[in-house]
Amino acid sequence: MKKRFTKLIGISLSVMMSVTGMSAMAVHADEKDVTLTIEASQEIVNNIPYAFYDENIAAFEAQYPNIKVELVLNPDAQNTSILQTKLASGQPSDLICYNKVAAENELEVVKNCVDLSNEAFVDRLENKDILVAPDGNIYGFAYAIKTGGMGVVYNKTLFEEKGLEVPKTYDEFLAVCEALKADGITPFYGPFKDVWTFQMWTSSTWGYYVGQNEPDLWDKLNANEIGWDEIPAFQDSLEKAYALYEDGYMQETVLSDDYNSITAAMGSGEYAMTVGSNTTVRDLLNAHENIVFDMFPYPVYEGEDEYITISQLDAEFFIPKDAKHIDEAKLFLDFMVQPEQADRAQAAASFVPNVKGAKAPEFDDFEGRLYEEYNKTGKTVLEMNAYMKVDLNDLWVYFQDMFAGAKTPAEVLSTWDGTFEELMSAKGFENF
Amino acid sequence: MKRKVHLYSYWLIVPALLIFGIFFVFPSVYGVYYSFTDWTIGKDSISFVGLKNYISILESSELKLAIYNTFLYAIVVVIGKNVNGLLLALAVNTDLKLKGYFRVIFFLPCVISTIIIGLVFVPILHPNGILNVFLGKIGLGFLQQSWLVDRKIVMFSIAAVSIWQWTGYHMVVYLAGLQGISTSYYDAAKIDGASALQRFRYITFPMLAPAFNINMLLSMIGGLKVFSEPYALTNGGPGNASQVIALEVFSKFGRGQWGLGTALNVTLTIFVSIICVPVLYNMRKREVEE
Repeated sequence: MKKRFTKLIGISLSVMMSVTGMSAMAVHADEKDVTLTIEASQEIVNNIPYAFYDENIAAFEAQYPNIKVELVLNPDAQNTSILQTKLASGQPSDLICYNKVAAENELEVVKNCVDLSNEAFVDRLENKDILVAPDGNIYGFAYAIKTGGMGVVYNKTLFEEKGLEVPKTYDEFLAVCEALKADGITPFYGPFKDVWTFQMWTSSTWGYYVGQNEPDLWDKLNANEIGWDEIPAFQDSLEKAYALYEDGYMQETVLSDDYNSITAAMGSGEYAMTVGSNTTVRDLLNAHENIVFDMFPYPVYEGEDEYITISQLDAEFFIPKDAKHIDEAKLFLDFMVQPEQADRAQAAASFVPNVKGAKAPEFDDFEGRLYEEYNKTGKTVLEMNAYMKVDLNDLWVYFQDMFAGAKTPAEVLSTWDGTFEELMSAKGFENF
Repeated sequence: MKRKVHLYSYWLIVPALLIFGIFFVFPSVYGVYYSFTDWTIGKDSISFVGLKNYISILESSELKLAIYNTFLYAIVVVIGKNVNGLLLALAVNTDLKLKGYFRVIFFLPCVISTIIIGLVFVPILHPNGILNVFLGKIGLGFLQQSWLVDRKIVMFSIAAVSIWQWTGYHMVVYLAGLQGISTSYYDAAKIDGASALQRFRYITFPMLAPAFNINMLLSMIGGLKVFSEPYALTNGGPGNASQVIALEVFSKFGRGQWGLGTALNVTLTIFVSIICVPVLYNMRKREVEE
């Protein structure tokens, strides 16, 4: 009996120890720290600060104490290749933040990322249609419904002082330039040392031209049915920009001045207009309290003055299929798609939240006007870059060549046509 | 018969050979193989394309410009660094009172990161920067240039910054060579009535041959492999005006054109070898043993 009792005690203790051990392991597993990595370029983080709002991330970490969020920032110029390499090598971050259409083309999200169509948070989206990829599924989440846009950023105070009206045609634009130049003011500030700045001009104007006149032109270019140097309207836009420089409507140092110099230059009163977006205007308004800055559409083509250019949907968050912490990444998205988080993020920057029940944004005068006048009324055209399937850096370098006098506008297009063919061929697109 | 005795077994070099083979020889050989492929980011398979990448290099006006710029830069910096380095070495090898301080000051730029130097020189060389303002103030306004923007002079501007940075380094090598020459040669030459120029021509110059060879080779290899200077100062711009081979390699790799980038890298290695090996061989022949 004593032996049986001892045996029973022994078995009971073993079972208890096993159970205790298992539960200890389970607790250990729960408490295991997970570092959730979110990867993006510096430019994206600057452009959509609400998506990376510290207090929202802190709230997430407070709700899930075993998850630590870590932001991995890439240099803008290398961001695409770094992400592509990580995806190709099967070692991506847990979440990638990247522009929607570009992600579909450059990161191949349909192949590389997790389908989120059936996640619970999708039903809480205000507009899920804008997230749908070409295959009909949803692979990412964007905080905002697109607002704002790109155009000519100008010093409104200076325009009013000089009695100048916002130009609606290219001739009016030239007349404004001439009036400003005669008054000792350099009409247009070109910050073209940065290779990506002048492309705002072409991506906008070409985007408008195609959107309004030949909607199938991007498809034709991407199918090699037409060459870039066979589109006179593209050359026309380049020639007009170069003429501004040649005729002294831009500063001589366009290739020495970068985007960051816009704030000081436009605030000095020595320049009246520049390239940019609503972000540029917002930065200028923040930097110069006594000057009013605003934006108008590029007046390069007839009728363009009514349409502002919008970039592709602001960056979306994608979960790569090879991510280490897919479940935690889904938790993160689920947490962010809630009115509470969307409302809190308004403190970082105003945006139209893509979350049901979230409060309407508090736009300032400038952004409110843009929203009412263009975004709400649909008077927008999508920029050219949204339709491209290859890296456009070479084209942007050729723009610099143009301002350096190494290429004519026609040569820019013909050289790019050859490079485009090589890049498309290297990526395995048909007809190249 | 006397048996040769080895103090250590040859097996001891195996670990070093293995590391060298795995981390240097194998990747290099594999790199040459990849230069004959269409290895590109996003492609599921890699195909052999023969000489296509090399033909692309020869056909591309941009890559030809990068090759031209690389050689131009190498020639300018080889001359600039060596002439200035030698002159400085001769100057600080005299009985100058503050020669110790001068040696340190001249050497100092080469311990600073090239990226930092780039950040400092970009505003200096801006069309409205300190250099042009200074030239204007002292009545030399006609010399004002768009140093880093004018495509005709941008490579010379970059080379000038590099010469400024590295002359001190070459000065030190020449100085070591100069201090290794026995003063008895000069004393004997003086007794024989040799002028200062003759003493330099017939004593200093031949005796400096080893230092000269090292400096020439280092500056030439450095010149051909140049990357940091144009990257920090212009990033190859404006447009492609200051592109060099190494920057193009970096750019091609960055954009996932790995096959082409590797071919360009192999081309650079071939250039460096073709130029530097015969130069080294010829220069060695004229080295003088003291």
